[in-house]
Amino acid sequence: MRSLQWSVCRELWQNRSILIGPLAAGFILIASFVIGTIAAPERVAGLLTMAAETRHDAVARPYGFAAAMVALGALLVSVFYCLGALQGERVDRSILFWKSLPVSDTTTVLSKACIPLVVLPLLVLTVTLGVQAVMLLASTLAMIATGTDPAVLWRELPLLEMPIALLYGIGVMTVIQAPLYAWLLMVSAWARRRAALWAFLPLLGIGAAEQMVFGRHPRFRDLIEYLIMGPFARAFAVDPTRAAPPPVIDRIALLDPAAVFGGLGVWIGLGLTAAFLFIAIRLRLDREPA
Amino acid sequence: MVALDGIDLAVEEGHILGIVGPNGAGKSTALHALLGLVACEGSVRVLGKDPRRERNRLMREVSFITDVAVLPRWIRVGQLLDYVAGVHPRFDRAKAEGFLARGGIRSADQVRRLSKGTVTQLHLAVVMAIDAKLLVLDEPTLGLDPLARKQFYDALLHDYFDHTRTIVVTTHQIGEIQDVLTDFAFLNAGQIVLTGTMEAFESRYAQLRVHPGRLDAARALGSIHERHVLDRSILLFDGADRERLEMLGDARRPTLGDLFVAAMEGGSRRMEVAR
Repeated sequence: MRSLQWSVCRELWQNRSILIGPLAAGFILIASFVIGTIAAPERVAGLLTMAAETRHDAVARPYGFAAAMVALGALLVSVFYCLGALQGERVDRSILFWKSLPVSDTTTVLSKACIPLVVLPLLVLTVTLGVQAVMLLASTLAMIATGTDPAVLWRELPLLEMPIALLYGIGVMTVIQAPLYAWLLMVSAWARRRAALWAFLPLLGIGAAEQMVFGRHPRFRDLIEYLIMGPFARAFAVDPTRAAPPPVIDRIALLDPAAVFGGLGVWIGLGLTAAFLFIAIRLRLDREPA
Repeated sequence: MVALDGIDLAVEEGHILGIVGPNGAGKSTALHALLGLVACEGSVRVLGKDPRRERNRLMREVSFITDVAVLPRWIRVGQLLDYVAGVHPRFDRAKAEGFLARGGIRSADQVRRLSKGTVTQLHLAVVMAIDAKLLVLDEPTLGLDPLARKQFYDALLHDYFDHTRTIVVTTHQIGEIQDVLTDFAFLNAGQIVLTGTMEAFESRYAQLRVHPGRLDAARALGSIHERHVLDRSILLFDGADRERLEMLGDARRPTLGDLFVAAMEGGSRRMEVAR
C-alpha cells in the first residue's frame, strides 16, 4: 500500500498537467463568471424574476455547466495521461531505474490506473465545489450590490443536495469510462511508438468496416456515446442528453443508481477494465526499453 | 534470436565479478536475466530466489545501475530520495544525503540540469545508501570522462564494498576495473569464453615481447596468442616457466585486456577455466 501511495505521488510529480488541467479549467470558469457578473450584476437578480417553473433551471444551469466543463477537462487530461503513462518510461529508459526498486509491475500499473480512476475524479469534485462556491459568492455580492435579497438565490439552489449529486455523477462517469482508461493504458504498455494511433485506429476501423459491410447506423457510434454521454444518459431519472435545453440535475431525487448498476453493461465494462489492466501488467513485465 | 546460449555462471558472496565482452556479446542480456527483466530458459537463482517470479522480493536485496542515462530527467533530487525512501525498506536516506553533500548535489536540483558525471554520482549515492547484498552494474560509466570513471570506482570500493556484498559489473573499460575485480568472465556471441579468478589470472598468465630472431624459440614454449607491434612480437603464455621466458625477451604480467583480446581472437580454444 505504501509503495502504491508513493507511486501515485511519483505520477503527480512527473505529470503536473494532472493537477494543472482541472485547476486551469476551474480558474477560467471562475474568471469568466466573475467578469460576467461584474459586467452585468443585474443579470443574476433578473433570473429570479422568471416564472417559478423555469427559474430553478435558469439559476442552477451555470453550476451544472461548470461541473461538466471541469469533468471534460479531466477526461482530456486522463486520455493523454494514459496514452503516455507506460510508453514514456520505456522511451526515456527510466523503466530500468523504476524496475531496480522493490515495486512490482502490478503496483506500478495500478498506481497509473489510480490517476484517471481515483485522483482526477477527486480533483474534479474538489475543483467543481470550489468553483461553485466562488460562483455563489460572486452572485450573492452582485445581488447585494443591486439591492436584491440574496436569500432568494440561496433558496433556489439545493446547496446540500448539489455536492451529493455531483459526487454521484463523477462516480458513475468514472465507472463507465474505466474500460476506456484501462484500454489506453494497455495500448501504452504495448505500443513502441504512436500509442494514440494504435489506441483509436482499431476502433475507427471497426466503425468504418461496420458502416461499409452492414450499411447501417454503426454500433461504434453507440460505443462513443456510451463512453462520453453514457453516464449522463443512464445515471439519472431524466435523460439530459435527449432534452433541450438539458435539465439541471442537482437533487437526490433525480439520481437513479439502479439504472446504472442494475444493467449488465457496467459489469461487462468493469470486467474489461480488469482484463485490460492485467494485460498491461504482463506487458510491462516483458517489454524492454525502446 | 538466441542472445545467450548455455551460460553457466556462479558468483560467491563477497566477490566482484567482471563480465567482459564485445558489443552484442550478451552481457546486458545476462544481467537482465539475473534481474528478472527478461525471460530465459534454464535455471536462474539470485540469492536463492527466482528473479522472474520473485522480482519484487529480490529487489529488496539487490541494487542495479544499468547505465548512466536511466534516472528520470524530470525528477528532482529531493523527490528521488523521497520516493526511494518511501518504497525501499533498506534505504538509508541520511547516508544518501551525506554522499550527495560531498558531491555538492542539492535537493532542489533537477536531473535534467545535472551533468552526466553528476547524474552518475547521484545514482551511485542512491544505490550505495541501499543495504543490498548484491549490486549489479551494467556499463555504469559509459560515456563518462576518465576522471569521473575513476571517482565512480573509488567510491564503490571505499564507500560500499565491504567483503560481504557481491558486485557483478559489465564494462568495456577493462583496464579501469582490473584492480577492482576478484573474478572475471569473458562473454562472446552469447557464450562464456573464459572465466577465472584474478588471483589465478595473475599467477598463470605471462606476456613476452621478443625480437624476430627469438620468435621460434618463444613459440616452442607453447604460446596461446601472438600479435605483432612494430618490429616485435608479443606472445601470451598460460602457465609457462617465467625464468625461461625472461631468457628470451621482456617478460611481464599481461593485462586483463591482453587476455581478453587473445580470447576473442581465438586463443580461447586453448584456454581453460582459470581457477
